[in-house]
Amino acid sequence: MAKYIGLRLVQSIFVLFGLSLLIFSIARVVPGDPARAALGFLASQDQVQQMRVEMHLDKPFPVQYYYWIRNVMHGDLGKSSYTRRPVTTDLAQYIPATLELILFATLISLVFGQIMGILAGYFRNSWFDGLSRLVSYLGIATPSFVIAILLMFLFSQVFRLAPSVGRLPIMMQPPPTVTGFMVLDSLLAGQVKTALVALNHLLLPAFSLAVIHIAQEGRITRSSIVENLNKDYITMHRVHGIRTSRLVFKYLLRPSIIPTITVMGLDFAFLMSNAFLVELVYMWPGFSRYAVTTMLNKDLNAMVAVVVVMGVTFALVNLAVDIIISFLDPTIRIQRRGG
Amino acid sequence: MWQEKRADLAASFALRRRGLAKGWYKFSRNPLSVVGLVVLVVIVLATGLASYITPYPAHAGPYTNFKAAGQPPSWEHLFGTDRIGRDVFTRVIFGYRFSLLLGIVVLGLGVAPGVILGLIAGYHRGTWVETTIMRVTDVFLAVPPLVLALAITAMLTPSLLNEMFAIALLWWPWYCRLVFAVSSSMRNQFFIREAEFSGASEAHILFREMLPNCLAPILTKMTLDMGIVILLGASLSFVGLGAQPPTPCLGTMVADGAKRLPGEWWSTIFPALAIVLVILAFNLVGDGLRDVFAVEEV
Amino acid sequence: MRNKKVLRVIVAAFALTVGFGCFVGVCATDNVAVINGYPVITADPATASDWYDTEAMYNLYSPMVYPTPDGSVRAHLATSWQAVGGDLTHWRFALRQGVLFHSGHELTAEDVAFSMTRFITMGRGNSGPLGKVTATVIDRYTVDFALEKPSAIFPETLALFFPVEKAVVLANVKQPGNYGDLGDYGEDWLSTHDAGTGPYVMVTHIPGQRLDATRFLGYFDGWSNEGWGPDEVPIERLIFIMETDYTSLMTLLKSGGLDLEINGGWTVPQLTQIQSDPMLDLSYVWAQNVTVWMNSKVAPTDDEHFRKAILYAFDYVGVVGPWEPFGNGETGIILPNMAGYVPIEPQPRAQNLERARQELALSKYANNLRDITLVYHYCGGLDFEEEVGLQLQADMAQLGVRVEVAGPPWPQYSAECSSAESTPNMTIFLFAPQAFPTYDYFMYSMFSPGGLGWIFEAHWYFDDPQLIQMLDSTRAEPNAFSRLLTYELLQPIIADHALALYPYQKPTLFAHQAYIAGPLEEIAFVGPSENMHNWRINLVMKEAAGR
Repeated sequence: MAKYIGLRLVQSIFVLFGLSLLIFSIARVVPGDPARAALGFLASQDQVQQMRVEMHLDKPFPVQYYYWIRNVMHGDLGKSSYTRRPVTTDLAQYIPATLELILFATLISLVFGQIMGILAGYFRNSWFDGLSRLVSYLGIATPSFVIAILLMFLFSQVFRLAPSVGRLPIMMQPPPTVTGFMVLDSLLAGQVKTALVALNHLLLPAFSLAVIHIAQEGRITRSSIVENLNKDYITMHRVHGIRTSRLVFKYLLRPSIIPTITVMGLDFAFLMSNAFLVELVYMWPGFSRYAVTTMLNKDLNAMVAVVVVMGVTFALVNLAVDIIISFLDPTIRIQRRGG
Repeated sequence: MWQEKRADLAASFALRRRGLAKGWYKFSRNPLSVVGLVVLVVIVLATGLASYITPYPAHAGPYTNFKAAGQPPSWEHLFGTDRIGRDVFTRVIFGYRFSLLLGIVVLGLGVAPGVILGLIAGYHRGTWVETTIMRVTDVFLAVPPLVLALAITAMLTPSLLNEMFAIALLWWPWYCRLVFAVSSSMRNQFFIREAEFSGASEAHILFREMLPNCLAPILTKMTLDMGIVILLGASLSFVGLGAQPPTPCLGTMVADGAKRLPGEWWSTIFPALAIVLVILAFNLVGDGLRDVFAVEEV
Repeated sequence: MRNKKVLRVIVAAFALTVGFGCFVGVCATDNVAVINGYPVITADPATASDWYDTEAMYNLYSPMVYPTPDGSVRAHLATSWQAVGGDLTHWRFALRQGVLFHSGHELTAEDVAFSMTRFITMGRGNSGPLGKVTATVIDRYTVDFALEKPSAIFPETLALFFPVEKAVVLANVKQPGNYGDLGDYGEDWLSTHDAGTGPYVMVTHIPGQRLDATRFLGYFDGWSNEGWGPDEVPIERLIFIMETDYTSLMTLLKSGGLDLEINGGWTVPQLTQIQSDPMLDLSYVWAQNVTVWMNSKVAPTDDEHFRKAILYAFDYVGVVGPWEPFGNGETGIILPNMAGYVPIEPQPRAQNLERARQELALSKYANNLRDITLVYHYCGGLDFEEEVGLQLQADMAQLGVRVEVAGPPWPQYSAECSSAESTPNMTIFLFAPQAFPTYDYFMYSMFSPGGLGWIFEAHWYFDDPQLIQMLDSTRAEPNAFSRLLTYELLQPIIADHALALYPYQKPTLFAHQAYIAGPLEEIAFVGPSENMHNWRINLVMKEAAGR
């Protein structure tokens, strides 16, 4: 097991190295003037030239990459030319907001996906099954930003059920930052009302992100339940008069856990990328909005950092999923050892 | 002699027809797939005949009429007008044209190299060739496509062409991985070994022996991917990195109209639903094909 | 005894409720203004450059001289100034006494000289137009500046020079940095703190996201009630937010979550909605000059007749369309509300296809119009810039000329304008009056080879020696009135070369709650109008509005 994890880690590092090289070359090769962007409006041409030297932009590409990787080894991702702060400072500020959003979206998709899947599976071929199938198809076919806009239009603008701007009302004093999660921090500071308000703000963006995953997880749970419902041991249990709820949770749900976890793991990174546009729609001050803003502003250091952070997250989550699954399902573990 | 040949030909046609009929039977067992196919055919026809069936074809090109801006849906303008005073219905139909074009070009550019590399890697399983190809593939798959596509297009002058180029650049690895999975599993099978022993060239083995066996999953994935590519293209256009004005582009239309919510809802809601419709249709047809080819998972 | 205990409990409960209520932000009639329009990235006076930064500067710091409604400057940190030696390269400034920094210390010549040296050494932000300046302390309240080149307008350019407190900056220098012993010259610290003398003190700043400030009671210019209504009191707390989504901003404005919006990115239906809402108001202080440069160094805009054809082909009335009630209208080389404005061709401002065809026939491209593509670039995401392009596209199509419209993101768009070869045929910009003096900004800076270059001179036309000479003479003329006469003469000469298309002037509309009053002084320059010292809040009205 340890050997397997070690191998995977080495592979991941190789991939991340390649990724940084790829994104770095994309960022540097194409023309444009990040020095001008860092300086602003009334700068003279001399000043721009001086800035180019400061940012090593006058050096050949390999030298630039060497400088960059050397600094990364020291934990320095460079300075953002957009916010003019160290990129690490920016990331530390914005990542928790996105993480909070994604975790909440995962929770929503897990709960709703399971409920939908169980009901659709247990009452298969009923009207509910048909409806859930339709919802899944729609969920998979709808871009996250379209869902975001539709939900915002319906639930925030037509029916004023939930706010659609940011994490907290502007006038509300945010709680002192401990975890960076607004809801958690508010509870830690004993501000129940703030926590509720923050939760309310999470609702629409998180749902916008969750819809597609509700659809997928619902289908997986359904098919797993349908498959197992036909198995002999279930019929046996039924004959023995075990309660339906017990049957569902003990015997039917368990087999669907493994595919659900796999999908959730894969989904995590996609949640992050879907959050790119959802955060834009809801003005969510998170990592993804930062990513899009800096990319559009050709903020090289921030851009490279953003992509590498995504890569690291993706790699870590995949690794975690592998480990969890191999604990849950011994057959996979043995297979892996064999292979 | 020729009679024999003709009989052969007829037989193979019959076989093919039977195959098609069987395929259609499998496909049509799921009514949703048929609905998807019908929708798709209607969309393709509509885009083909856009200049004839839309009420204001001029509105898809250089045209402004600020006086008529922001009109709600009416019989004159089914989907209302946008902030430039253009008919939204006309632009949605023309917008489909560019969405489909994007999908076709991206898959056209992306699939071929992906398939070839996948075949090579599969054939040379276990050698440095496989390692190199598959690790490079891993690099491209290390982040979701939207992230890289954004990064690349943000660096280029925004245009439909550059958008296609950027997405195509990201699309080959998926096919490389898929084809690798299929072809490496057949690497040691009898018919490949036989071909090798009989002295067939590598190209022959790759394209005549291995490729035909990968076609079913490739075709299925391509249909499903059309939807995903259109979705990705719409996302890029949504942040302004896609086709440039006055090209009607569904993602741009949604983004543009979103600034006018909730007042002028029609200029964003209709294009948004249009995107959902075309992606949905491709997904349904893709699912149907999956049943036909009995492809497990792509 | 028992009563006392009950009372104590009641008081405690009350205090708790109120305290809790305030804490979560439901306190009625808070004296606070939430303002959108400050994507302030840097709050350091030496690096501040964008107009948003300038707006922050005017709140947190004080400039040496202050712009006036008539376009000149008045005493502010400096009480008087004069050229020493007669060649306009050496200027002496007398400083106001008793000006307090936010730390409570008095501003001296030492601080001013340090700030100027820092400004010039760091060489960023708004220091470009100043060139190299050497500062010398003469006495506690007198400072000398020596310039590289003579300049008659030097004192006025100091409307964008904001002194910092030397001791505070030096105490917060971070090592190592680019400036030797001086480390980073305090840049890092100043991005989230202030060391100024302005009417407001920075409390917190998250760059690019939010800036909180409170009123500075020791502000040297005072908080006089003169000119204000009886219930209009100074705003105690400012919260600057940065949002670009106007749908959400509209929601905020309607719900009372936003008090003032100064970026003015509203759509026409939104503006109509604001106008018709009795709880809201629209104010207009300065306008932006929408300018479409035509690159005189690339085909086909290298032909003067071709450029003129564009000017006549453009449908000015059509593009203004629904914006007309909101003040979009005629403009020229300078803004029409500036004294000495000279209307330029075409007059009247309307499409004249007949005339356009005549000009086109005179151009060297008359015979191969089909092979021509006119490239028009705008900054991606700006709707009205796109609309101007689409209008041009439709108009030129009538003449048989193809126009390619594209909106690359800002960094790329701006990078294109760093040389004549890479600049597209046409590039559209909004020039807000953001460098001082405004006349010099719209004339010398935009048409002289010694001007600001880059996007400010994306026409690349420097071929008229007479024009250049006249522009130079404006910077050598100490008399403001004589300068104005030259500016008047200059406008038709510049217009005759047809270097830019001026679709319209675009007023910046400040949408605000009716209980926010201001601006007291209407100064057509970015910064002073957004100085919140110039605005007040009517708490009685706010309470009545239930917000």
